[in-house]
Amino acid sequence: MPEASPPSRGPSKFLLAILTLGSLAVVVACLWDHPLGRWLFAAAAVTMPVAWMALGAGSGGRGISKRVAWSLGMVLGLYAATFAGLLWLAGVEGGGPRVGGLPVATVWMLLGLWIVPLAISTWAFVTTFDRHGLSPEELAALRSSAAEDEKVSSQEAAR
Amino acid sequence: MNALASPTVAALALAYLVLTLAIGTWAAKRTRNAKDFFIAGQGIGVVVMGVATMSASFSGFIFLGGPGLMYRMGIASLFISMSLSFTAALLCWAVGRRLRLLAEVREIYTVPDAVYHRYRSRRVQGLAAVAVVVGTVGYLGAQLLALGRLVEAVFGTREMLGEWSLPIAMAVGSVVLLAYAVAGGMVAGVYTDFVQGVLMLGAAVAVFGYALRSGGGFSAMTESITGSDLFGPDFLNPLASAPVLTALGFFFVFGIGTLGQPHMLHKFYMLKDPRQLRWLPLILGGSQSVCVLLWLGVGLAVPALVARGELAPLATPDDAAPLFLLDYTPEILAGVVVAGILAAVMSTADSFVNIASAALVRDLPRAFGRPLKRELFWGRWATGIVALAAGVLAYAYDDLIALLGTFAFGTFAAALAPALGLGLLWRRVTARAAGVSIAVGTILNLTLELLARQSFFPSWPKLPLAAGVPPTAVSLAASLAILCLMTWWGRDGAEEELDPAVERVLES
Repeated sequence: MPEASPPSRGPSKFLLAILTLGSLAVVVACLWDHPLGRWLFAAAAVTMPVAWMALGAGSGGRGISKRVAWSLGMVLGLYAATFAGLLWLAGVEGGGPRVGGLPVATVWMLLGLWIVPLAISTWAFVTTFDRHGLSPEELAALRSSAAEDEKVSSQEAAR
Repeated sequence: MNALASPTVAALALAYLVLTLAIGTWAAKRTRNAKDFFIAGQGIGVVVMGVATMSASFSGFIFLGGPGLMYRMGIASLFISMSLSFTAALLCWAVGRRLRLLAEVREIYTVPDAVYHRYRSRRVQGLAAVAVVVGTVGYLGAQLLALGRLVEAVFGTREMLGEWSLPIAMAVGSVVLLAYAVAGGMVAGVYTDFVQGVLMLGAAVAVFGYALRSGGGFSAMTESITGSDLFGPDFLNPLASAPVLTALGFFFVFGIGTLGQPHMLHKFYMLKDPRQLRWLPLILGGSQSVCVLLWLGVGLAVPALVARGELAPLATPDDAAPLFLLDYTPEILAGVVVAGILAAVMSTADSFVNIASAALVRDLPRAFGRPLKRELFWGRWATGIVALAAGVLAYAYDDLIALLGTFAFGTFAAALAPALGLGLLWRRVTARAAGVSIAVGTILNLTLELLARQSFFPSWPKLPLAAGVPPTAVSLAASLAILCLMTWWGRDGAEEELDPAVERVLES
């Protein structure tokens, strides 16, 4: 039998708490027809995806590298600033002055919620894949354990 | 104008349908067993997988429904696709690696299979299979509706057939779809997805260019739209053109909800080399972004043309994309793009037909402890039954493609995203918590959608929701909250025993 690997650290309780509180905040915001509800929903909508990505990147006891932490921090900052800006610009008729022919609110949305965070999160994933994704050693170890398992179960079946 | 007056457009659309059938026939010869049928023999590369995932996720819902929704609710409709800035990375970090590794150590063909191996519970697998079938019927319905609307626009059947036009157009499209889905299974699906994805990318770029040209550039389009009474000054103000909670709800559901989409998760099993996952966010996020250009371009150009009086106001917002193509782009491009949209619709529909048939003939019988002996044979029959149910639902739903798509996306999201997206990362989540979360997500989403839409019983209660909230946001959040709360406070942290191989994947 392959040697059992030591149990890894569990997922971050802080990130799990964000997901739990975020989901409750969304439920409250959806049921509570109050202007504060939209801020509550916005706060949950920007923090939850970032927390979930951090949870995935740091899973298996890997922890979060500085590069991923900074990248996700920047994405969170961008989302927060963009939603706050858009909520503020919602009160400005036409979405504010024009930038490149489009209202500044539209341009802010396209850059702050789409193009820039896409570039950051993709770059962070690609460049940290060996640490936060799947290293060749991990894959080899997993395949060898699976082969051992199969051998043992076929021997047991033969008996 | 319709395409019968333009033989080039009709010929290209027909040529595409013939090509699709040819791929189905070729794929049928390569489909020798259930592994080929359900997960394309686990032998595809990351570029094919990425583009195929994009085309399966960006369907008629995005290509036809997107511009239609923008026409109705303004730039806020784009919140559906803004979350693609993180969904590819989220998918890969949270579930992609582990799903692919599960498929490395155990025989896993479907999402409910993964649920079974994670929780070791046939009951939870059965619940997941039911959620997959319910969501699939809705999603496939959105594709068939898009297919019907496109066939109507391209072949001008509305003028010829009147009220029978839509059901006949949907039926014609369904027959072609079933012909290659039944024959080729996922081998046909993944390669047609890839070919179609490439076509969609080219189409999106070309149409975006024509949209800017027809509208006179961003400045001119903005002037026309914001100066018109029909659309008003806030049409292009993201959180003013629609209720704020609608926009936030779209961002939330289409972001986190991606973790529960079987047509995307399923593709992870097919990847030949798990290490190639490194490139998936680049390919998937990049190709999705290119396709959103069509939504943005046509979504701005059509209201601008209507505002200037160059185009009559649309009676059916979903006609925005086909009308623009047929009236404002060269015939060759219109033909290619119509084929591209057909491609988008067909590829997604094909993925769903296969996923639903797997849930019906593989997951549900296993959940009841009675696996079928001839899965491949029954799988082909199940595709027809699912397509028929989806067609009936789409016709009865009688609303925008994007809204039907949102309901279906939300069903998958609410039912599966917490149990899989968090269950694969958090070892403490129990089968009981996962089962309750899946059941609550599915039932709540169906109930809220029914109460929001039904008009047969005026005395039934109205939804107690804040203005503009998409019902799917509530069901997703509630399902996640239940899973988290049951896990935090359940069984004092005791963990259920897992298959050692699965345990190793969860620890990796």
